[in-house]
Amino acid sequence: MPMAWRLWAAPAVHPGPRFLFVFLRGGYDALSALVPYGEPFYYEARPNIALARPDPANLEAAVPLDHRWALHPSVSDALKPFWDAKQLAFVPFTGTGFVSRSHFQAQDWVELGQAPEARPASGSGFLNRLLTELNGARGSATGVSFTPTLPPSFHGPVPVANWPLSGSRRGKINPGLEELILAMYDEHALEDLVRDGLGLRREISLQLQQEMQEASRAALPAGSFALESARMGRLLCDHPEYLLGFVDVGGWDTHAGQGAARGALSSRLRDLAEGLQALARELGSEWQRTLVVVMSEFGRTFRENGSRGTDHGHGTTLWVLGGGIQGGAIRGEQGGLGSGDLHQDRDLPVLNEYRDVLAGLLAQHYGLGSEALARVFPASSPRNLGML
Amino acid sequence: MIKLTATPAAQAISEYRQRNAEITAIQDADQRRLAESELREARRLLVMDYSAAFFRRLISQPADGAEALVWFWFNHFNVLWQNDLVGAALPSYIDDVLRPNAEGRFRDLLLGTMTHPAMLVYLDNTRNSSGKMNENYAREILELHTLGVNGGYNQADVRETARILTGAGLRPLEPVQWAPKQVPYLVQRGEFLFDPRRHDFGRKDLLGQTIPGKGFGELEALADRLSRHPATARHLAGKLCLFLVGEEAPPALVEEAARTFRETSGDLAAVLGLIRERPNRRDAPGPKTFKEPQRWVTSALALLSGAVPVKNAQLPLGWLSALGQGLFGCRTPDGYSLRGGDWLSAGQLAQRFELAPQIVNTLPRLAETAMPPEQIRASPAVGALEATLGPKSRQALTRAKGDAGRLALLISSPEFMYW
Repeated sequence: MPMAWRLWAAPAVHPGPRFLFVFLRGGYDALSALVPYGEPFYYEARPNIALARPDPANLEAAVPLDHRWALHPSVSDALKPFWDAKQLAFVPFTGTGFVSRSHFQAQDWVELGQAPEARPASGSGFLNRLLTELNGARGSATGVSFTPTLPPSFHGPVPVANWPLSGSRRGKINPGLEELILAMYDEHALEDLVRDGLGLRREISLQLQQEMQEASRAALPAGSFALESARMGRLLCDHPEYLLGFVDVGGWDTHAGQGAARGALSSRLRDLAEGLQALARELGSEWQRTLVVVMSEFGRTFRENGSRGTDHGHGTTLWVLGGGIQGGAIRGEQGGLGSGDLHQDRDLPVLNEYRDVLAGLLAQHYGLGSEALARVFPASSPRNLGML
Repeated sequence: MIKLTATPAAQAISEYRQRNAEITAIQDADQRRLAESELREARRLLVMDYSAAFFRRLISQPADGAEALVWFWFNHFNVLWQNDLVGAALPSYIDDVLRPNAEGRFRDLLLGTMTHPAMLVYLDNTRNSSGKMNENYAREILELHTLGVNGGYNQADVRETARILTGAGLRPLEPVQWAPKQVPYLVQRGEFLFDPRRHDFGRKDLLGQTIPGKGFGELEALADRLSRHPATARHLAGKLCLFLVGEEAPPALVEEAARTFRETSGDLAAVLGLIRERPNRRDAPGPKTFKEPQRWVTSALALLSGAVPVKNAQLPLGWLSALGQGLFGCRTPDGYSLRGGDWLSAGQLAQRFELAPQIVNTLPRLAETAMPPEQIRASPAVGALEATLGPKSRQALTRAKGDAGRLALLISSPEFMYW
């Protein structure tokens, strides 16, 4: 019997810290979000798609964070306040321990979070293993995935509910039918999933109904990540037992015409940044103990390709946000970005293995010991990058 | 109001391109936007009509029938119709390339997709030219369409494949004065053009073999090489078994299918014959495979409609989208997962429970002859299924409200979630 649904009626049991993983599927172009404006080679390698050097007179110029890095102008309105409040940090030169330029392999790799030499095709995901560890100490912790299917990161022994928040459907199942369905699945291997699915579905249906009645919330464009995030924030507020959350955002595979200050990528980045802003707003005081990590399966080529886009690369930039973090800084190992510094003469090198970075963050966020960490991220070397 | 021609299928591609070029030339921004939205609407209508016809064909046949295989190949060589001319090209892509070769030679299927505007536009190969490379399509050919992700190729092979593919794209809309020396290298089929001006004629070294620079012949050599590669045989045999037999397909069967694929250089009729000949795994006891959304919807329709054809496909197409597996709806080139277990989640189950009563209630309107629930309930197919239920499901059925409620419960039962 999953604990979550027994607690449904009386939550507020679980004042634990929360972790939300935002996965950008498709390999987002990290160099367009966190712009290395201090590197002349960046402008050489990207004659058509580089963001202009910081210039207060130019609205399309990158917005500086320090002497080397700047923000894309489309995200700065939403994200710069977090940076200034030290609630946002970036870890460039991050990535996986092995090179795959396949989206699908690299995504599975990130989500399963096994040791580099394992290269597993299946197995449990790191978020599910983390739940197992948290449950050891706290009992009723669970996770939630805001996706139509359960992502590999949540595959594993702990049942996790999922339901996408991007749509606007509000269906109904009559209680009589629901009771008979539960009777059919009584003691069946799927019973927990059935209960979780029906419960979460009912909850979200109620929330969408409320949303319709409150005009102010219709201000966010339908289908946007900002709308989805606002819903996530409200749902998480109502349900403290959801310690771990997952959501994914697509549309990052910019092989052609990705644009610079304006264009397709710019719009995706803006929506992402506004979503994170909406999430923090809705979480209110909960934001203080929330940790958000944004990452993608890999980065893109340092040079632009023949069609003003970028191809699959290696190193990427991880975003860390939260009300209680030590942000306002670029963290982790930093490398050069001259033409001689690139990995295989094409990509950002990986100097910070993402499992080490996440393990370090989660160690502090949840007070996990080294044995627990080794079960979540086998054979990792947790690194404290001073963000918590 | 623009309408794209449905038959012959390839004509819509030319019409779309022509109209698109005219729209680009419209000076007034408002008029241009209006014309653009009209063209997009025409593309949407073409795809919707085509999808409905496709779905009706799909459910009029057995679950492993000919049209299901066409679906399989579309999923294997997935394209996204919302992407530029791809929607206009989708009927031709399926009718001219996938269906005629669905049980033919894999090599023809592969070469057909390599020279079709739908694929070339979707994976950016129309932008791949000598000196201005775009390796998107090359990578997916190796990773998804042929060798598979662990198929033993490296970044250099991706690069060489991309070089071979340079110049494979669309014919220019403006007439071109070809230099006499280029003419022998031109290959044009409808809107497809192999453009020697954009091709890299240098020698290529692919997977340990040399392919001399000779123009379009390199694409044929690539299709030959890849379809004869043992990794392709393994990859394709595995996927076909997964689709036709399920996750519990015996490894020996997969092995045998791969060997047949290899020995016949990708003769699909031989491979499919072998897989279909095997005794039906589903009659045997043991673990079963969770139905992916399309299998659940089509099996529910097959059960509930009996032999009566379904005339209205719009509602079932909506159910597929709601369950996350819309027909022609996968946005990424890997297609939908064929592993049933990948679809198993709390949300998926709850969504099915929500749809079950809708399916039962709308059935009388979907079928060509009205079918009242009591008549469906009394059908031999329903009786046979009910006889296989476990005690808990059977007990619940007796408590259902009316025949419609009973049928909704039946297709919500744990037994009906697996095949």
